[in-house]
Amino acid sequence: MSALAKGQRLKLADLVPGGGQFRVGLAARGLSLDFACFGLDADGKLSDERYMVFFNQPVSPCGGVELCATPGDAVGFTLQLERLPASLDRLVFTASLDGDGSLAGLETGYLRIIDGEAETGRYTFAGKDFNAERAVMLGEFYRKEGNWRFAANGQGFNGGLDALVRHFGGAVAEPSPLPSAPPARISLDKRVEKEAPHLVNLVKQAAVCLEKVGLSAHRAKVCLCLDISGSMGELYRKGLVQSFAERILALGCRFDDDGEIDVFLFGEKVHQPPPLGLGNCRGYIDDVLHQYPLEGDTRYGRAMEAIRKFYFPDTAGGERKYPFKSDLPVYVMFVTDGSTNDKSVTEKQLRWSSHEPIFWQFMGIGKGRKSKSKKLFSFADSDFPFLESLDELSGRLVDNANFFAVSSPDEHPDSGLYDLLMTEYPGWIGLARKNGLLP
Amino acid sequence: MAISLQKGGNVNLSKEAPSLKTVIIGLGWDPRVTDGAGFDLDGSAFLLKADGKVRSDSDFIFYNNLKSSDGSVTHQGDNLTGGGDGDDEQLSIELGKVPAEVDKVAFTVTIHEADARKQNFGQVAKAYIRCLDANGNKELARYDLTEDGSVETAMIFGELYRNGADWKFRAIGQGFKGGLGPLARSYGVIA
Repeated sequence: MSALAKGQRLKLADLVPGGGQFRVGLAARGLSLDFACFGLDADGKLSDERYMVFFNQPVSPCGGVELCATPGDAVGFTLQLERLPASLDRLVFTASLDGDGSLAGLETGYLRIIDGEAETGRYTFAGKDFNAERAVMLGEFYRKEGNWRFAANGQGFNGGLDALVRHFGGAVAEPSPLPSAPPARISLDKRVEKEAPHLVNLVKQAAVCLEKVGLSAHRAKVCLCLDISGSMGELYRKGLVQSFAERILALGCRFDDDGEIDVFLFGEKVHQPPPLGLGNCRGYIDDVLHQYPLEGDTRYGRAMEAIRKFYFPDTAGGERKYPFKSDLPVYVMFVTDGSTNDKSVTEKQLRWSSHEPIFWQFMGIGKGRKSKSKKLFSFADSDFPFLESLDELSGRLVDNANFFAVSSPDEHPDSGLYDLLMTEYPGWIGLARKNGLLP
Repeated sequence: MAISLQKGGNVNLSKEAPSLKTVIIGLGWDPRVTDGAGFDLDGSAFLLKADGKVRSDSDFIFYNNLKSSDGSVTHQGDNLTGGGDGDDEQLSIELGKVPAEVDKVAFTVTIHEADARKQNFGQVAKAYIRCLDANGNKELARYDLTEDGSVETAMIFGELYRNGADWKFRAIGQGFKGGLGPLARSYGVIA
């Protein structure tokens, strides 16, 4: 039996030396998945929908693909590739999630190949392989120069089975009309139009992105935490922080129905100015900076402590060892342009807060060594080695943080920024639920 | 008609295009169609002596060092997503300017942040390397690597090498364990 790695390609003859009939077994733990097999033409399209084999359609017209029971697996397929019409080029095995969350919430799963009674290959996947995907292509058998080959794929779509079927060129049943927005949602949209019309488009962009990751109806508190160390001065003067704050406010307007987000400032000390809202967003950053001028130090840990204290007052920002549950998660957008002077405090805060329904999205604003902040780590030091290490910090209940770097807060277009902000958060929601941090 | 090379195959470019002065090396791949982090592939070139090592670090041509000190090899810049028609990255090699002690020029492609993004060449569709005559942009040779790429995160796609007075091109398609840094060090880059 050989372990197959994601991306691995090999000849089918290496897995099924004798040729002829063989079986594929699929299973997963931690989530209930639907498995299917799609027969695609040379263009990668499902030109004949009878070649989607799954529980409702257990056998292909040619009999080459058929559902069967393989002991120990959730679903099994018997394959007789020589029966397939010549127009069929690929058989893709997929897994999709029916229900909330994403595949990041999986424990583990596999696709295995069984020749006779012997397992000859196994591709194992796990929740950590995924972010917000809700449907994935696990592996495929495909024709190449007259022979069949196998590839372990492991890539998919946040949009779930519908997105997968569209990828294969299949028709998706008309989506049921979206559940009508709750009244609070509608009145907030009206408020945006009336009080901050320049944000209407941003709120729409945020909505599109959230729909892509299945969070249209998601509710959360949004918190913006801004570095006010001296080096940030130019970004503030140029208005780049103001426009960034408005983009986060727009996200807040999708996640929350009060039309405002909490703001924390940190340098040497931590300050909490009044929330940023639709009514006061114009010139907000200038006003706040007037009241709290730039400071000469950078301390992430203190800021994190103050934020935790504000949302979860019971431990006053101190140690937490056991899961704390709350209905509404907190999404913290943490913006900095340099490293911190309280690294060990920061690590402690991140570990303790992994027991709380709070997610930390760090954004580092680096000196542009290269556009799109791409760095060759072996040749040039990263500006944010500490933040990178936080992203991987051990000793946490769940991975509660993500980090990315930009050369400037306006580097990414709105949609690109929202996509970045939602890279790991949807997966964290699943983990938070599983670990009793969210209902 | 361009020559389609298999892994290990070679072609004499000087015979294919007797007036060849400048070779364009085109590297391509399809952008990611599934969700998740995009594929950002980086083409690089190494000017190598007969012993397979660079003369100095400036013989390593990549996105932070776009031109060799002798001016013979120029990287046309980085494409971050694989989008758009035609080649995703191009390098041009003025054969007459390649110093005599440089025996070959190797072309590599590495996946940026492959480990963090959990990506490898097995997931990248339609990767290829091709050689063009810069005069008229005629394609001389092409090598499609898709089936030769698997769990590697760095690959040597091909190399231009001297054969007497001629220049030849070889399709290599060999994986390398590690990213661009380790690959560069294996060619004797010190930095």
